Amino acid sequence: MPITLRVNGEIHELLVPPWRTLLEVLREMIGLTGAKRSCQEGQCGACSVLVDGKSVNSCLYLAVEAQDKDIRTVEGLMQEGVLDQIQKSFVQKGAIQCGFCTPGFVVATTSLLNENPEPSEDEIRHAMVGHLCRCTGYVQIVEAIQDAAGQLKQQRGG
Amino acid sequence: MNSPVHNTFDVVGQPTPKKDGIPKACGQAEYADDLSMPGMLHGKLLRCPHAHARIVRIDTTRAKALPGVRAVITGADFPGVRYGNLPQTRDYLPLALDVVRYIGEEVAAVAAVDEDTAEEALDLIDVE
Amino acid sequence: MTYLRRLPKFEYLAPRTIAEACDLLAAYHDRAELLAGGTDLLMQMRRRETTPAYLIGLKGVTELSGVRKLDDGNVFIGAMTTLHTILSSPVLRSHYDVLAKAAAGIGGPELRNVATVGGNIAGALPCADLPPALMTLGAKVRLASSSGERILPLEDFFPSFGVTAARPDELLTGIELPSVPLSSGGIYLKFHDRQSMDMTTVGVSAFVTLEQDGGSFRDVKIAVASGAPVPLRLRKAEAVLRGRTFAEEALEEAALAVCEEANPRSSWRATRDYRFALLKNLTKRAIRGARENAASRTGDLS
Repeated sequence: MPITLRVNGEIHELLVPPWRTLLEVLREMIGLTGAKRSCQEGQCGACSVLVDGKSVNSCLYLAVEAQDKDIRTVEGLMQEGVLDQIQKSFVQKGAIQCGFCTPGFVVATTSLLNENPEPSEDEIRHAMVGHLCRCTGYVQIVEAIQDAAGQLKQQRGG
Repeated sequence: MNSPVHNTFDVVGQPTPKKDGIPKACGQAEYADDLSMPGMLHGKLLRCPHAHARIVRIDTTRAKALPGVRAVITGADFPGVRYGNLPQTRDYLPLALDVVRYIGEEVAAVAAVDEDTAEEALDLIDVE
Repeated sequence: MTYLRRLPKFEYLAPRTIAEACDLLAAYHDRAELLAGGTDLLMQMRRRETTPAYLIGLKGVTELSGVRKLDDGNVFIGAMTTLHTILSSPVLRSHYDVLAKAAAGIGGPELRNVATVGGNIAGALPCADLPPALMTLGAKVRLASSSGERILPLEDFFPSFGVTAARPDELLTGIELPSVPLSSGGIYLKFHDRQSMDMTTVGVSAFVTLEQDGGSFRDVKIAVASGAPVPLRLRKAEAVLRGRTFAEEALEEAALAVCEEANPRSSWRATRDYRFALLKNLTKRAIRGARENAASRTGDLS
């Protein structure tokens, strides 16, 4: 089926079979490999992307259903080569080891801070239940998210 | 120790962010599954669903005939080849030969022009 | 051993209205599945448990989404309303918060952003969390087909394991909730292995309405998840408590009545005996919790 997808602000016109997931289209047809193929069952969150601002597992989302939506991947969070604050915090706070889970966490953090700019530690942990990390033990990830929230608050003049 | 003359060090006590932190945070870092090259083939493994079983025969003709499949191999294609450089893995076979010893043991492998074809080919391999 | 494969091939049909969806169902129901959020159906397809030739995708039928107050004071929740919308809806949080809380306990944010209430009901899984909460709220399901509409109480919607009372050509369009009485409150207690992302081992929902004196129950509704092959309303336990003063012996009796009516199975998650033990304790805690919620609701609920 011919479909049009808007990814990171760019329009892509593609010919896609209905059984292709959004994850497969992003990785294999558009070449955006930031979202990872991992558990394929919506448990690990490595495939998360933002659809209309909300974090979803792209491995369980059909590409043909993603038309008319605003899709943002981890690659789209940078602005003109400048890391966004969440990405900076993850790098600086030691929240990245092998880095496979990082795109998913960064996307989920973006969604969280858009909805709740000053989350408590509990709220952060609850927002991240859909993401698994094999390396870090999550502590530095939580610190990175807290750091990002604090920095963004300062930048807003709060 | 005597009181230090220098209060700041260039390396000691300074944060050392990971060299590859930035590409990883931006989704630019490439992992094995992210690699893609023109003309590349995709491989899939057929795994055994039984905990312990004897392989009577494997028929790969239907799989080989599927358009887009470049190769289908089983343990019979290279009998006696063992891999493993540790004492406890010395006898491991890359693909099972006569007996399968655990659920998930690899029995056959397919190489095809794309993943869908490779998966379809797995369905066409008859294992008794 | 399940190695999760790519999805099997199918054709995708995209209705834009309920009427279109019903027409498609009438024509294709023996070869098609309805696709709501997809978090369950796509998994079944990956495991090749079902390989329909057609998927009727409902994400484009906007009239199936949303929480609306009806003229008669009831509330209607469209079948395609996501769990996220339910847990954050001001209407549901203020008057039907047992439902909002039950939705908040399912999966994680990514799942809740696409999973739907219709999918949670129509999937007919005994471990589904929303049916018990909805049953204790007195919910009714609305079904539509090309030959018309009908309404059923939710507790009559699950005749047997894995099956709903919907005909093959019928579409679940939504849930109707009656307005809540004064001095009422509910709670849903979900027991599972981890703190999130798990299927329910046993879940008990209770919704009580208190008499003016606050000490006795005018009405009690109790329903369970994973307590039987279907989401089940436990009328024996309700009868024990209805009209009675709140006391520990009453709770004990109700807990025992729950075990008479429930019929849990043994699975890798828990044995039947363990589930009975869970049901007893969770029922008591749920009644206590529901009563506390009811007692804290004073004044007008309009």
